[in-house]
Amino acid sequence: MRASERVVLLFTALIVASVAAFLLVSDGSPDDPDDGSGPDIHGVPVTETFRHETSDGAYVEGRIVLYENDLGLSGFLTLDLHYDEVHPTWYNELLLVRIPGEFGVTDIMTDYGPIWSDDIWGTLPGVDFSTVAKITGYTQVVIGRDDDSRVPGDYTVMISMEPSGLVYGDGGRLVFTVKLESGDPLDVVVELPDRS
Amino acid sequence: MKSIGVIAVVAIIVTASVLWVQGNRGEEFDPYDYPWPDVWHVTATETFHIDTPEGAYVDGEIVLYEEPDGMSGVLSAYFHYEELTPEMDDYGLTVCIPDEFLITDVMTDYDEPGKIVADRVPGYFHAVYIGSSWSFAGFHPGGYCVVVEFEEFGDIDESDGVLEFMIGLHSDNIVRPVIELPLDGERS
Repeated sequence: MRASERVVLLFTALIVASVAAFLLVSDGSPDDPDDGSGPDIHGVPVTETFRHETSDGAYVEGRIVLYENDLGLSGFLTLDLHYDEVHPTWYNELLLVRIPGEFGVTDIMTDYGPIWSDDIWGTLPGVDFSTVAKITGYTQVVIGRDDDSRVPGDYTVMISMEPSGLVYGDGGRLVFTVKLESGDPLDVVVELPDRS
Repeated sequence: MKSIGVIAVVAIIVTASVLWVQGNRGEEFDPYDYPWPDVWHVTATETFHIDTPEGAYVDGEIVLYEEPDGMSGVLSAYFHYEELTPEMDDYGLTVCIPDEFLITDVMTDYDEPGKIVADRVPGYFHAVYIGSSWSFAGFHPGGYCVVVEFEEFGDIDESDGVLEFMIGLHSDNIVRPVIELPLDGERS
């Protein structure tokens, strides 16, 4: 290989490496606060609040916020959970949330503990004996299933979701379901605005 | 020269692949590519409330959680007012985030995006103003929600661990929720 060829080869490799490194690294780095771009601002077409309580004093209060971004209709659901005691007859899920199948659940943030992790959750902080099951038509998030270490108190759960397709709902309606173990299921119906 | 040509073709393919991957980020979410959601530990939560003499109010909550690259958080505020008075000659709602964080997204149903301002103010890294005084013509009584997402910028462990937020409704109705974090690697 001649020297000129080596130079061309070196420059080609440098250019490719630079482009790849810039594109890969720039996507994951934090925004530059001085670049003048500012945060992204998204419109919120729907918010919905709900409260679900049981006869034994447990309750969950929550809010659903759906907003428009470049993926379509994304959103999150926040739940504040409280229960005073654990009944001996409780053996199923402490809190169950069903998300309509139009959404995929991307993140769950919670202070429910103690922290549990295994291969499913990797090395990340997880939810104590909680499960997330993909079920046709909806995603089910369960907190505290068959859990002997339940400790009464107040907890926070946030669920982030992104569209798994076009979000039209069933006749423009999305149905979320919330259920505490000792209560009846609560359907939270969200009416979607006309987005045409 | 033949080897140079081969290498150049490979280089073009690699570059094109990177660009293609980059360009496809943000595509439609496929839940079956994500068998399990990520689960993050919530480090702290704090609620706040404002009542004004005119009957306006704000209800909100701050949630901080740990991600692999640092602490992130969400501040959600829901505010309501029945009427505008001359004394309200100021911003409608102001949300200030401490300078350990950077605001990444603002979600709101306040329907005049041009009247939403995200800015940098002394003592705070970013502030979000909803409905400033010059926008009263389009700022109607009612109920609105604002959700601010932010992520760690810098190193919270090198600060004093005291995070002070500020939420203000019009001129004189201000609350300063404070979250004290355990430091020395005990955050999570």
